[in-house]
Amino acid sequence: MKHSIFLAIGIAITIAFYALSYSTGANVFEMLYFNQGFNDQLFNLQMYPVMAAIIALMAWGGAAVYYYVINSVKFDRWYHWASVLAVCTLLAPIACYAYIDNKFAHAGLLYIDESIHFVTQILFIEALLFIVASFSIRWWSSNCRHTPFPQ
Amino acid sequence: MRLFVFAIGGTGSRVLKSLVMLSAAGVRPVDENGHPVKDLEIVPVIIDPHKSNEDLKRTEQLLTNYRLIRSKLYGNRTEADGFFANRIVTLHEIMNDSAVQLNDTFVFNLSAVEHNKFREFIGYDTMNEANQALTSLLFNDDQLENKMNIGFVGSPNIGSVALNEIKDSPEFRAFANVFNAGDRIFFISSIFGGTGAAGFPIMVKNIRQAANLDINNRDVLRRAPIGALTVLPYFNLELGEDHRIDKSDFIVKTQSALYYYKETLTGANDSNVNALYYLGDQQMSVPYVYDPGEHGQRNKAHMIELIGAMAPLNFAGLPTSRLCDDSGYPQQAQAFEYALDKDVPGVDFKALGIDTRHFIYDKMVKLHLLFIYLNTGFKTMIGQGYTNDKPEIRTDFLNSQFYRTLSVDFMNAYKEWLGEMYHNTRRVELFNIGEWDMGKAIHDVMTAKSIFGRKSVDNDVFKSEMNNLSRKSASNDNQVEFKFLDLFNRAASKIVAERFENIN
Amino acid sequence: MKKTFLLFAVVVLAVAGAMTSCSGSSALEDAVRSALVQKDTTQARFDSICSIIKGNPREYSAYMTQDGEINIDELGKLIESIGNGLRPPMHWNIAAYGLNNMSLTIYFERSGSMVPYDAPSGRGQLKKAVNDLINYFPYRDNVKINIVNDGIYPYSGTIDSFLQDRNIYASTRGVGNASFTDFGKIFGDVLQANNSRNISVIITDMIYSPADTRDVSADKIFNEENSLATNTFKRNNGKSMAIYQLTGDYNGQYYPYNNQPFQYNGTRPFYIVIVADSKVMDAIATNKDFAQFFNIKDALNSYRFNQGGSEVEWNVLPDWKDNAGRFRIDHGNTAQLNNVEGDRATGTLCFTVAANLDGLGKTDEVLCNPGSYSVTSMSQFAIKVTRITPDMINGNNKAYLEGKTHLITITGDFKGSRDEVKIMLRNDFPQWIAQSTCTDDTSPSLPGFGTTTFGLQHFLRGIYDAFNTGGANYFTIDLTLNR
Repeated sequence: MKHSIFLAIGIAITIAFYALSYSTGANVFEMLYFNQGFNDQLFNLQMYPVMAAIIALMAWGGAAVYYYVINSVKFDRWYHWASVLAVCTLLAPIACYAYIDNKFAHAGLLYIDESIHFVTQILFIEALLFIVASFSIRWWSSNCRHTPFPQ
Repeated sequence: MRLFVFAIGGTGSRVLKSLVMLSAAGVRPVDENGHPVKDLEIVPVIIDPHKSNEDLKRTEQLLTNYRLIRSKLYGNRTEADGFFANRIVTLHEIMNDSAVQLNDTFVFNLSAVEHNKFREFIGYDTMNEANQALTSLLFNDDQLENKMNIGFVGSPNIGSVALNEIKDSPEFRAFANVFNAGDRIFFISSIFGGTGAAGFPIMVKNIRQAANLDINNRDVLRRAPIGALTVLPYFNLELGEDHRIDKSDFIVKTQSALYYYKETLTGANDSNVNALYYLGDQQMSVPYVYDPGEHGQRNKAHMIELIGAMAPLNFAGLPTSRLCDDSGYPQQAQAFEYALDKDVPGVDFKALGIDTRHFIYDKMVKLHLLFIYLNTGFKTMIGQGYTNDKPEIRTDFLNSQFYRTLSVDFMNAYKEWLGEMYHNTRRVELFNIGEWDMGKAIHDVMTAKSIFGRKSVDNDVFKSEMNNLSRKSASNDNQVEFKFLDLFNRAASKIVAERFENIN
Repeated sequence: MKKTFLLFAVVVLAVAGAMTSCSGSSALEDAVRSALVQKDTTQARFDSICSIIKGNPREYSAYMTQDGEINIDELGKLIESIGNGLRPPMHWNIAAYGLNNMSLTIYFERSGSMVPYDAPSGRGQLKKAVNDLINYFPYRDNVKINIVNDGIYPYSGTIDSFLQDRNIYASTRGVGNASFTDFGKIFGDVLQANNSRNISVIITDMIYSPADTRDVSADKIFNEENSLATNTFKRNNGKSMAIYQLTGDYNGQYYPYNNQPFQYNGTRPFYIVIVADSKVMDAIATNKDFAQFFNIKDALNSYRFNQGGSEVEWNVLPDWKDNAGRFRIDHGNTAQLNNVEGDRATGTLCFTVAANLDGLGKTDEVLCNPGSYSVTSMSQFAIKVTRITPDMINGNNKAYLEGKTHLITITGDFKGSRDEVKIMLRNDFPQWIAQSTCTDDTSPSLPGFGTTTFGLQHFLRGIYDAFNTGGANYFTIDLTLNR
């Protein structure tokens, strides 16, 4: 029951994060980094929800891979978990940058500095969401449920 | 059902040791349908006046450790499955007559005989001349001068006199008090020595003639199903000039005893012993050091003892209909023998018959894997995986009496037992001694094939399996001790079935 | 393991489901958004959006009429709602696209004083202008021509015969009574006949000549036509009217207000008046397909009535070379600037608003003249307006500049913690109308006879007054500045 609550909270946080990526007034991405022209373009091109989806999927996917695919006693220490966290945390900004770059290129926009600044913030979001996902789904992992630290 | 196992003499102690090992592995007697016998309590009683006998001391310590471990695992429950499944208790633990004073020990107190010389015990000096002359015909001077606290050193004629006093002991009264209908009695003794050869028929006689004694449950005792393991010569002694036990006497004594048994126990019209298990090996063991002194015999464990230990378990599983008639009276004696599947000098699981493999293979392998796991992997896993599930296994567990008894005392005894059997003749090589690789631990049994060669069996495999099982069964209701061994047992069952070649 | 996968599948479905329900944008919404973001507000794009609707009539039934056509009003609302959600808010008036196969009705005035405009000896500017209107109208098959004087009479020929007719007045001789022009009836009938799928164009000399004006003072006539105009247009409030002044050769009899005609050979102004629903007028004013039709080539002056309610598309430029100081555009309200501070060195605040003013139908003389604007603020901001040139647009500012025509730069010392800035393009009654008005047309030798129209100002003022009840500004930009 307790674990289901954790899962429900994790899903709620993720959905809230995703919903906030749609928001104009309190957009989760713009809370961390804001450059009017750049962010307006992200907003108009509806890139926030896609990036939110990328981040959420990488966080949940990464956590799922760790807890249910890797799921090995050889990789059940906190630093193994931290390694997956680090990989996801690095991959998410790279994926988002590639996405932004591609969309901007099609739209004839060029915001290199802003894009780099922006995706740097995604590092933190990804790490946070990975932790949320980890604490949502780890309970049912046979080998890694006590990682990064015991229940 | 209670199974009273009277282990008489040095051989009795050594067979009992193997029985404890099998019980620790989780080998349980099964009925004719293959189901474990319900509510079984084994009550071992060691009868040996030679209290300093090393074999006796080792067995007694082993029993004490077993009892401690089991009580931590299952409390007073009789029903259990897994390691240490059989409940083994002392007479003291089950007796309900507070009037009888007993030590809480597995060893029968033979205080009446153990401090005397035989001549003092029989009152030789107070006999008249005629009786003294008769006595001198029956017993030589060495035997009369024999101090009985080192046993009867191959002299059944002394033992038969001395052990007849058992019927008057508090232990025997306590035994009679707690013996109920449905309980069974089993004797383990050698036929070629002194204590066992003499004690077994005396004890049977006293039980069957309980009507003449001033004890409780006389009728029940008279009808009690009795089984016995009679071990024929199987070990050698080093040659020596002054040995009072001489291997050359073994065959003669055996022949004499067999005649006597035929006359008194297992004859055509006898039903004193219902099931008699004969066991011996023409291939003698490596010569043992003869030491009747203060340190006593310390013989290497032997395959015969391992096989012999299965006899009481087999007896416990026999249907009552094969032991008693419709009126509840014992049936005529049945004799049981045992043969290896292959007559080889090195006996591994494959050399044992298929029935024996079914009976002990999985469980022995699991115990051995536990032995390796405790020595190589468990400590490093504290704080990881399943150890973090409720109830948590923390580092203080390593300092608990249970863990120390199990991992040090008991497992050292196990290691010693295995090693002794391995270095004996016949050589018992169920496992590769000194091999810490779980996948290579069973002699001549490989791990199962997989796509990429052979499957591995190691601590990580166990950890993973135990993690998985623990997740499904984590509960605060369990004790740490039970959690650990139960998880390991279940994990090992799965691993043995899935990751080793099937030899059954 | 099975359970684990089941759990994982449930989690993925839950998250994906929740995300889908959050996003939930349809193909139609995506197409509209894409068009707005890309500033691709062309007919082709509109058609592609329509094809999405028609391709899935069940899903998009709300955007279709009962007869299977696109419901322009509903689609317009959707576009408006999506556009308002963009940064900066974007607009796309699709009314004109909704006027597919819309009709054009030309009312060709055939009063006595109109005949000399198409005299064989003249250059035929009037006929040319009418022909251009017909030719540039996107749906030529829907053009109808009426002859008006004392009433409205259908032209008996075809469009082609009209276009090829070298003397239209000769060929329409005898239609109605050419001796006077009843503006009240003409405009009343036109406004009545005009509907949301119709554009009406009146070709006229704008001389009010009611029957029997002998001995009637000019002022009386002026007052009469002024009242008449106000009355007529007040009753048709949803309409808009654009008037274009052109000049043409005139050779023939001229009928002054005192009914003593005289011969005149020279140039005379004439007028093309376009009447349509306000929305339609807004649409065609900004629609590229109607550009040549609406921006009449040889017009000397023009003025559009009833533009007070016009929505002008505008947004503040977050980054611009002239910007000084700092500010942040509020997300929820793009008309609000937050964290506003003047330049640290000079204290000056400067920001720029990009706006699409072409739809107003004004020349840059008006639009780029700061005097045309009123700016109210506590900080006494100054205004400068310049036309956007293509070289100003780059990839990053495209979203803010594309579709906009002018930059309105506001400069001043921002004082206090809050200021309300109101930028208004005043809808003054055009000076050219007054300059093109004469009060005496009894002699061709009178000064300005060739460039003025008798009583023009009075009639048009009446219309101006009829429409301008809610304020006299073409548009107003309200900005809130918060420190």
